[in-house]
This record gives sequence, structure tokens and C-alpha cells, in this order.
Amino acid sequence: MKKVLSLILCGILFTAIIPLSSCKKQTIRELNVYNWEDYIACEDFDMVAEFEAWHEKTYGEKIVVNYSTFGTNENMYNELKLTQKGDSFSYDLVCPSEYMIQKMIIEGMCEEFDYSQLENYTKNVAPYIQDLFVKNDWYKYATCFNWGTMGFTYYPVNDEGKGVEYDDVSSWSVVTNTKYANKITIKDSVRDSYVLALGNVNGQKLLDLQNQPNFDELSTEYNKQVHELLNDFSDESIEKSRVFLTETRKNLYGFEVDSGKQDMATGKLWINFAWSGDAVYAMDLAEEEGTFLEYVVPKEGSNIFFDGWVMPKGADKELAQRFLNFMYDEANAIENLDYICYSSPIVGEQVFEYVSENYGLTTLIEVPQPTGDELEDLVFVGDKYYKEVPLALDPNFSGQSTYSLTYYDEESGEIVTDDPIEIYAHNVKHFFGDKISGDGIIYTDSLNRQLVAMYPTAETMNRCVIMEHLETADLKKLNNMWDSVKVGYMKYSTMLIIVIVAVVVLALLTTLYILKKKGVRIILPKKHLGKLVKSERIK
Amino acid sequence: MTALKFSRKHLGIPYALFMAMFVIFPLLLIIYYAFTDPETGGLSFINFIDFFTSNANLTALFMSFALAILTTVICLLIAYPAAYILARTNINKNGVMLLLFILPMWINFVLRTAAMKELLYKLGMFNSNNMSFINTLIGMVYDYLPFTILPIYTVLEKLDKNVLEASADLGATGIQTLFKVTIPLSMPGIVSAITMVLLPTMTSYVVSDTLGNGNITIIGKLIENQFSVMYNWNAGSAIAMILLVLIFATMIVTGKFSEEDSTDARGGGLW
Repeated sequence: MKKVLSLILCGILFTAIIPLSSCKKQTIRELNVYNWEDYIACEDFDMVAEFEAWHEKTYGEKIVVNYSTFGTNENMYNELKLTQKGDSFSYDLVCPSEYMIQKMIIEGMCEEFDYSQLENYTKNVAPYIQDLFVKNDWYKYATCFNWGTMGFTYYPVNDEGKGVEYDDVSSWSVVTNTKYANKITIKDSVRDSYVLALGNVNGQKLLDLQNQPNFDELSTEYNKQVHELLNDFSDESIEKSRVFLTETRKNLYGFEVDSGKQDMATGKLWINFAWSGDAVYAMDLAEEEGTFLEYVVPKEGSNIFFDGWVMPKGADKELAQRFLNFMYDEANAIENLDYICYSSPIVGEQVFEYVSENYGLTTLIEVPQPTGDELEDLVFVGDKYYKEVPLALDPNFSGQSTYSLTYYDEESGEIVTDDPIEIYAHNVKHFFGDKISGDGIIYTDSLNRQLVAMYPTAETMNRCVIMEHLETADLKKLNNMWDSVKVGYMKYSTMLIIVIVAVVVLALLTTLYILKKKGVRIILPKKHLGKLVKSERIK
Repeated sequence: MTALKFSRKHLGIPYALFMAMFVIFPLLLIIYYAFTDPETGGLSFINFIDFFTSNANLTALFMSFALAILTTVICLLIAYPAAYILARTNINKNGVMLLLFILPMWINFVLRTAAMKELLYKLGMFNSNNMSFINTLIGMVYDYLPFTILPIYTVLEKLDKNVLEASADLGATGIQTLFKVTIPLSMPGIVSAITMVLLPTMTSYVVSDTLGNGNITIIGKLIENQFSVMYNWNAGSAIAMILLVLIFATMIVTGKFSEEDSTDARGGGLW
């Protein structure tokens, strides 16, 4: 009986090791989506579940979406390569960043998109983004999901004079400013921090571009020149960057990739080199604590980045494109925008309205005769109905530089008119293009906060460039430079001395040990005396 | 033909398989990768040459060793008296004190490190980036202290009290007993503690990243970098192998010195 039992137990242990993959049945079609962590709406509006329901309703076919996430582009790439079977990959849709997309395209890992299946993409994606993808020849294999710029999140000067001056932080050179020593972090990633180094090393050249005669901030020529200077991988520039970063890090608080957002909100840091999406997140977070952070793209020029969807070879193209088409729908895109803080490439009247209401200034206006549908959104005070609208829709407002906003004070239950505040007009028409009919003006109280971080001005966008994908040899050079910056430098002579000392000590110990084993005892005279005295005492 | 007979030996098969799959096979893979050229795939020493010719890598190696040795020494200095008190006095009668020392081990490592960061920040330890090394050291000691206390405690608890009484009978003072009897007999516990602290401190870059603000780069970070940023599994495996060899050498040396006088108390070596 005991033996039988043991055999059974043994068998159980055995089978536990063998994968149970053979039991899977392929009756329901599956879509395997691989995305960044925290990069899709999943709380009130669950994008994945909504898509499954929508698909069943529209096509009458039940499908399953397997949604998984990754933390870095490199992890994603490794995972793809590890699960590769022959020529095809085990994911249908992945969302890497621009340089990884370039790498995957070059290595022939992607399927081509069929844009006739993606009508929402052509209809709703900003012309700027569509052009960017066509210009760089990525449109065949990739569609944009989110995008942004790189710059500094900072803690602006407060009433007590503590904080960061705008004039300082609007240039890359702020990282060397000893006024902010131990209050700045940069990214612990070679690609991002190299831009910061180049912005300093080539800083004067970048500024000189702007001092040329007939300088046009919006010209393609200028954008090209910035692109060249911020994609400079020559040995000379890499060496200069190494020297610069080694020198600068003494002034820094440290390097981070993720903790910067929290550290900004809690006030540990004053300046954080950040992606615009993270900047918006940090601003939202800090606002809950009553702190108002700002974001700026350095005046010399910076990086623009995006994350885009690609279909790896062997993907279920039909399902993948249906999923994308669903996400590129304006209403669904707004749900996503509401959940993540990164700027969406989706534009349109609804998005414009959402952005104006959430990131622009709003005020209350009187509604004389509300209709039935409207009533839910209205505030009823005294005997009048009020509606919260973007400032542009206020009939009393005509573009003044100061204005008093009105809002509903829940505590007193009254309509309150604020003291006049300064009003700035921010134009987003260059990004929304002809997808909106209006003039694209959103009124705001600050040009350095969420709204402008998400939708930069045309001038800012023209001095932001993409950092090209690097060849292995260049990447290796850059990485060696980065290792040397991060680790520091120890003289070879010091290393030699340490090794020699260690060897001598070890040799001494070993000799002592061997001698002891052989029975030879080395007794130092003083110790011997001490022992004698003691034993006499005991006697 | 003999019938397949079940014997007690067969119970070991699953474990042997487990060892083969998760210990031997990965080790062989590391050796294979370490000795192949990343570009051609042929046998080559290029990964090792690359490692030993780069100042950054060697500096990181020395830094990691310094950090690891310091951590181990501090851990032992704190843990030995603690374990001694726990094992020898009434303070731990119902096991509560020991539990308090081990409890942190059951809380997520990353969470503890993040909490330590907040604490050190409140104490003003982040006021200058020269403090990064000290902060990392504090974090490492905090995280690995339970791993040092437990093996030493196990050995000390099993220590035969008669041996100590004999020592006192023969005229040794308390301090003499400690250095001539107790510590030599607890060497297996100390060696186990060193094994459990030395290698992890050289590779757990979560602590150095969080508490050192990325200012401290240890060898584990370099391995991670080679694997996940450079896609160079060969170089990464080579560094891992170098580390393995160095640790192995350290272990042999420490093991040798502890062998004497301690054969009776071997049981605690399991840790």
C-alpha cells in the first residue's frame, strides 16, 4: 500500500514538470496584445472588455483578448525573440517606442498594415503625426498610440523665493547650475540622458541656429538642423558628453527612471528630466498635495518620442486591425486619454471639447431656457440655470488678458465670481488641423502646465526631433560611455595595490593555517608570559 | 528481464530532475554563452577580454566587492551578539524576539527598501549625493541582517552547554570562553551567513538604485544592462561567470579556515 502511494506521489511530481499545453483547444480566436504597463484604460471603462463585447456585437463572433504588459522596450524585444517560432511571433499587437519600432522594421519583424481596414486612423489621427510617419517611412508597419516631448518638470519659484527660475530651467544648462545642486535628477537610461548631454555639448550651436538672419522658427530647414545636432553620434561628441556628464553628476541628486514623478510631488526634487506624459502625471499628483509644478521644453530643442502599434510577423492581422480601429475611435480614445496622461494622437471635435473642459479654463454661464436633455449637467441656483463651459464660449469674454471666472461654491451653494486672473490663449490648431472647425484656441492660466505639456506649441514641436535608431557599434560606444559615467573611474594602480594586499593577506593566513595543521605552533613571547602568569594564579 | 521494482531511491528522481533542469542546465547555458562570440557564435574569449579591458567594469567589480565585504562584516558584527543573546538568555523564551528579527523577511523586499528611502530622507541622509554609498550600505545591512542572524542563532542554540561549563571549570574567563570555544564552534553558522550575504549584496541592484539614487553601480546592474539594454547575453553571462568564480574562491577560502575545531557542530551548516 505504501509503495503504491509513493508511486502515485512520484507520478504527480513528474507530471507537474511536463507542460500541459496539449490540452488547449483552438475554437475561439485569440488576440494577444502586448503593451506598456498602465497604458490603457482599465478602470471604469475597460478597453479590452469593451472591445470583446463590441466585436461580438458587430461581427457576431466571440473572441478573447489576452492582454499582457512589459516594463521596458528591451524586455519586450527579448520576450518576442524568446517566443519566436520559425518566422512568426506569439503576439498579434505590440506597442514599443520609436527606436524599437525602427529596429523591428529593419530586422523585418513586422507585418504591413492595411489602411483600408483602419478607417478611424486616417479619419482621427492628427495630420502632424500622420505626416511624421509617412515622412519616415514607418506608416506601413506602425501606427502611433501616444506621443510626447522631453523636458524638465520643475518646482516654480514660490512666494518665499524658493524654487526654480523659468529662465534657468528653460535651457539644458540648468543641470550644471549649482543653485540647484542635489535637487535635479536625470534619466538612468543612456538614450535619454545622451540628449541632455548633447543639448549642452552642442548647446551653443543649437542657439546659434536661432540667431541666423531670416530665422524662421517653423521652417523644415531649422528642424533638420536641430535633428542633425541632436543625432550626433561622432566619437568627439560622445567623448565630450562623457566628460560633461561625469562632471555634471556631482551636481545631481541622482538618476532615476520611475521614482522621479513621486519625488517631484513630495518635494524631494526641484527639477526632473522627464517625458511630458510623466510630467502631466507628476503635476496631477502634486496638485492633490497643493503644489503646482510646471513643465518646459528647453529652448535649444529636444526630443520627441512616440509609442506605436506594430503587428509582429504571423499576427492575426484582421483582429489586430479591428482592435486598433476600435481604439482609434474618438469616444474610446477620450476614455483612454482620461486614464493615462500621455498625449493621444487622436484629434477631433470631441477631443477638443474634452481637452478644453479638462485642461483649459472654464466658467459658468447662464442658460435662459434649458431643454430637457441639458438639465442634468446644469447647476440651479436662485431661480437661474448655469452651465460650466470652456472660457472661449463665454459671451462676455473677448480675449482680455485678465478676467474674472465664476464657479459654483458647493459649501455656500452660491455662484461666486473670482478675483481677476491672467489669461493666456493657447493655440492647438496646428495639431488638430482641419479635424476641428474652430480656431483651436484654448484659454489657460499658465503656459507651463498640463495643457501645453500635452499639446506643445507649433514652435516647440518644430524644435523637437526624433532620436534615430542606433547601429550596434554606435550603441556599444554610447553604452561604454554611459558605463564609465555611471561607475566612475578607478586608477589601475589602485586596483593593483588592492589585489596585492589581498593576496598577501591570504597567503599569510594560509601559511599560518598549514603550519597549525602540521602541529607547529607559533607562540609570541608576550602571550606566552601572560598565559604562564594566569596558570600560576589558578594553581 | 527483471521487473521494475520500486525502491526508496526512486523517490529522489524528481529532485534529481529538478536539479538538472533548474540548476545544472542553466549553469551550462551560462558557460556556453560566456564562451561564445556574440556575432559569429563561435568559441571565443572575447567577452572576458572585453570585461577585463574596460575600466568601468573593473571599477564596478571593486566597488561591489567593497560594498559586499563591508555589508557582510557589519551584518556579522550586529548579528553575532544578537544571535548570542537570543540563544543564550531568557529574552527569547517564547520565540517572540526571534520572530521580530525574522519578520521583515516576510515583507516584500522592494517595499522595505522604498520605506527605508523615506526614513533616510526624513533623517536628512539624502542631502548630498556623497551619501549614496552610506545609504546603500545601510539598506543592504537592513535587508540582509535576518539572513545573518538565523544561521548563527541555529548553531548557537544547539551548542552543548556542557562545553561552556567545562571551559569555565578549566579556568577560562567569560571572554576567553567566547573567543576560544563559542566562536570557533559557531563557525559553520558564520560561514553560512557569509554565503548568504556576500553574493546577493553584489547583485541586488534594487537597493543601490533606490537608496543610491542610481549613483552606485554594482556588478548586478552591469549584468542586467548587458542582458536587457545591449541584448548581449554573451557578455552578461561572462560577467555572471566571473562573479561566480570569485564567489566560489571566497567560499573555499572561508570554508577552509572554518573547518578546524568545528566538525561536531556541523549540523547548522544547512543554512
